[in-house]
Amino acid sequence: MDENNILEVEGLKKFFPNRKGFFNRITSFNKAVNDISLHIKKGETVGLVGESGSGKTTVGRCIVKLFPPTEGSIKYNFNGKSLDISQTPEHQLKDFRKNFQMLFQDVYSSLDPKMKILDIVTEPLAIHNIGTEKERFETACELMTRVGLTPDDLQKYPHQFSGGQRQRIGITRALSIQPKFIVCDEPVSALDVSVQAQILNLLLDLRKDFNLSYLFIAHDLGVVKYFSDRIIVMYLGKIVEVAPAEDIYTRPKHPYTEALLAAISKYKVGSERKILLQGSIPDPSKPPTGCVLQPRCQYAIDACKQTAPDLLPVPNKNDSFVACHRSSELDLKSYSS
Amino acid sequence: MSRNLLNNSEKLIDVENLAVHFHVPQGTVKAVDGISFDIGKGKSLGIVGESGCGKTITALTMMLLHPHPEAKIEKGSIHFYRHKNEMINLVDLDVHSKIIRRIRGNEIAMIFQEPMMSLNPVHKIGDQLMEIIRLHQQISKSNAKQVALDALDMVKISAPVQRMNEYPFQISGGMRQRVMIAMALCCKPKLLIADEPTTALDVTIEAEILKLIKDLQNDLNMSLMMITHDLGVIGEVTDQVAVMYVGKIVEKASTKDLFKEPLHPYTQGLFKSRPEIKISGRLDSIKGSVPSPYEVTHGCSFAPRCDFATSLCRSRSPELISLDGREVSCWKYADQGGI
Amino acid sequence: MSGNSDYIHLTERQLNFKKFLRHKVAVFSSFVLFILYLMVIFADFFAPYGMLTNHKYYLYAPPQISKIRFVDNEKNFSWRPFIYRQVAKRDPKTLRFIYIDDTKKKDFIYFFVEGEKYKMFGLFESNVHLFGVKEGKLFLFGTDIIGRDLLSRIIFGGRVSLSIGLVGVLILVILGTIIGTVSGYFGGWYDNIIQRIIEIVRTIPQVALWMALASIIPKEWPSSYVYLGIVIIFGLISWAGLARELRGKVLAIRRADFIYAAEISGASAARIIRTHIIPNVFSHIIVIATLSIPIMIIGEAALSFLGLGIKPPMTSWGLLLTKLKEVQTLKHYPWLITPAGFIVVSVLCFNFIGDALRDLNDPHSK
Repeated sequence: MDENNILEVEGLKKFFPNRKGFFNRITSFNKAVNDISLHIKKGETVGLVGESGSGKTTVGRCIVKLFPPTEGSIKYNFNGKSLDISQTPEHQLKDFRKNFQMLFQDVYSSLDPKMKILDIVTEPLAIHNIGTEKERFETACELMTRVGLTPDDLQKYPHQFSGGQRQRIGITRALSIQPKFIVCDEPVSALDVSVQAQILNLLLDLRKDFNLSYLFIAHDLGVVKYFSDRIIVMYLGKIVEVAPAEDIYTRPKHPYTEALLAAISKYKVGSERKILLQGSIPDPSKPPTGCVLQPRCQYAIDACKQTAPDLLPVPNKNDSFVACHRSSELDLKSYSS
Repeated sequence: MSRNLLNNSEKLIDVENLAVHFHVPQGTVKAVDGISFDIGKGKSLGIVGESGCGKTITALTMMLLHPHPEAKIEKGSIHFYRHKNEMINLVDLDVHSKIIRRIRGNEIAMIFQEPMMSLNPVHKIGDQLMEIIRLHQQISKSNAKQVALDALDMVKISAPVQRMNEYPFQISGGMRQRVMIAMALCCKPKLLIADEPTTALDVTIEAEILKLIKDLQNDLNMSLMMITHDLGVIGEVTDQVAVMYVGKIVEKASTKDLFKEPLHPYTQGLFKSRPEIKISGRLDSIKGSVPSPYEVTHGCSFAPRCDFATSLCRSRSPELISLDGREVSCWKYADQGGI
Repeated sequence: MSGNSDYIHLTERQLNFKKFLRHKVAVFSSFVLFILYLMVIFADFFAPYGMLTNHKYYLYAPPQISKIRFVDNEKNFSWRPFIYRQVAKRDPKTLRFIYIDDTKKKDFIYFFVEGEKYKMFGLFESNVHLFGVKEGKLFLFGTDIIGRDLLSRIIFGGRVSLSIGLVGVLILVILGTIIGTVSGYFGGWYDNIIQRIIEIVRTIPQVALWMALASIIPKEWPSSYVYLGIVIIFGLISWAGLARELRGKVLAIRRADFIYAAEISGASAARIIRTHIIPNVFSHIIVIATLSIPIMIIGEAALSFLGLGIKPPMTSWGLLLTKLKEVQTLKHYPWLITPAGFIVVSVLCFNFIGDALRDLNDPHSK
């Protein structure tokens, strides 16, 4: 494993069985994640972008071993200690879990409504038996102030807080055990625009102060632009493109990336977004033959319908990969304002 | 565009000083606190604001669908110009009256954010469409079926005959939204109220739905009231904009003017908060958060978060100031425009 | 960040309490139950006579509650209520006892009067009763075939009738909660098997099952063992409903993000069930428990009425009604049905309170 990486995922697959009938027979599989490989360097923020059915949320959940993957390896490396958590049984994994945490999209279901904020944010410490009650309380006070809330808020309950405040509480909880890596699963999608900016700024400051690495999951390219070093674009369980942030926006190499860029609003009066994809996202249990995008792609040729393209490095570019038979010949537009 | 310029024959709906208050044990919430706007025939008005500003209640009240008895229209009027310029004040109607029921779905229609919630999961799509059609038009079942198919065609849904026999859970989110638009437009209403219709959809689908709404608005010469928190949508779809904050309209202008130069500090903050325009560095954000709906504020409700707030702002609620054909509710412009 | 309104700072418990207070019927029922339980706990004090005390000269005496007066035959008024001494005579035609006033003797009713000696809970000796007469007898609800005061027996019998519900529900709650939450949390095989077991248990008619199990109880057992046996049987059979309902609620929150957050942090299943799931379903447990109590009260009454339940010398409201199996008894001595009234009242009260609690949980109620 490369020393600079804190996370290396290889060949990750997660299939959910569809069951039908009286005996719950498996009829087909929802191939939510279908052979994904990625890595995250220490201190890096990687944006993972995809629409519904792309598998981005499932990737996030596999990475924190919320459920075991169907196939593939998930190797972490923190300060010299490395572990492939995909193979590790739960009771051996517990200690290692101190290294990573997750932020959730739904701020209304991510905090236990019956628990006091103090108990919510110190729960990770309690699970790992870290510190005395007093020490945990002090840590909680410090962190709450750091995220922009007050120690008095520790005595309150979630329903007394707004969406943005709840996400701050979620951040406090994540930071309590001093993780080195946080999976941010669309943490600002459900918040008001003005609050989104506050939370994103906060996450940026914390990255610096706490030396964190992030995997930032989002459903459009707008939010991740500001936030990521590298961006991974997913569609229907597969990675279609990987590139440094500036390149994705100026020189997209995959038709789907181009379509996503075209779909970002230009914030101009009377402008219209270009619609580059026909039809709608197919059923993940019945993915198209060949390339996953081919039924909707305006550039599709016969080869696209027959074989699925591999994710290959882009020539003359570092850290850039694309899965498209025609990537070398297509000249895709960036649509950036 | 000041209200006075639009004479009655061009107006479709004219809301004046509308106030809707919620009376709950915890207190009185002034969800809508005296707003005025109008929509011209065939024109589109955008209402932009964040959560708690009152935009959804405004939309619901336009069809007298505000949750009664907790919510009450305290004052104000909603003048709706029906066919042949017959004007009717919707506020005068009883919420259960026959007249408003005839207007709903027929002359004023609405689409919502979550199509799964507004489509009945146990009825086929065709049945739900035909129900609305037959409610407002006295036609036979087979004729209604044809009207339904035409409506599905109008929203460019694939395989419409098949869709008629499907249930909502069998189709995707984007398609459900199209079905909802079809249901809203099958009776060719004069006004379509769209409450965050694309917020729950993927970006690529959002572009399609917005284009669809715009095209339909043109084809049917329909007025549109677009409620959203997304300034991008405002720019693409609307002619006029009203910015709402905690139950009040703080700025009203043509979309062009607003985008060229937002006047109210809140509007300016909204424009600056978008991550898309930044490459690196910190985002500009509006400090603080939206006040609790039970809080009684003295002075301008935005003052605690405003970089330009003065003692006047904190003590007196600003009045609506007319300025170059726009309106803004902010003391900063008191000496520039007329009150 | 903080509103001016106090409501925002109230905890959910306080908000729920205020909501509950708006259900006037439920509040009233709570008072009634409070008084009933108070009465049966301190039965020795509230009852004018002992549970087994029989009064030889007052067999099948009718209720005297209607004979309480403030004005005597000579139109003299007294603040203190009294009754004329009752004397037993045989009716010449029917040969049954009838009771007539002895206008020469007035028995005044006193409060905190000294009467039969008792040892409350086996610990405190006293002879003070809430009310009574110094000489003569006061049978507010009449007496039975061997002259035992019905009111006193109702109060003592209430101990069994009102406690069986509580103890049985305790067993039901423990069993149902554990099985229901485990079933919902783990899903998969466990869930499948447990749900099939629940379905089997629930298809068997409850009353028939009670009767079958009750008849297994050996006749030689002392009444306290029989009591325990009945309680355990009730608990063992009724847990299925609670488990089924809880499983549904647990399934609903199983995939909430806050559960995921705890799992990601490394929390064990036991910890999650204990600290997250149970507190969030607790209100449902309370509702179902409250609504199960009246079922058990009626169940015990039914069993005892049929002779399969509580045995003498213990008594319960159901047992007090046994003699009424013969319609003749009811016809001639109708006051003996009074225990049924107590059953109805307590069952109604629990049902009203349970309904109100269920409304509290419903996010759509006002």
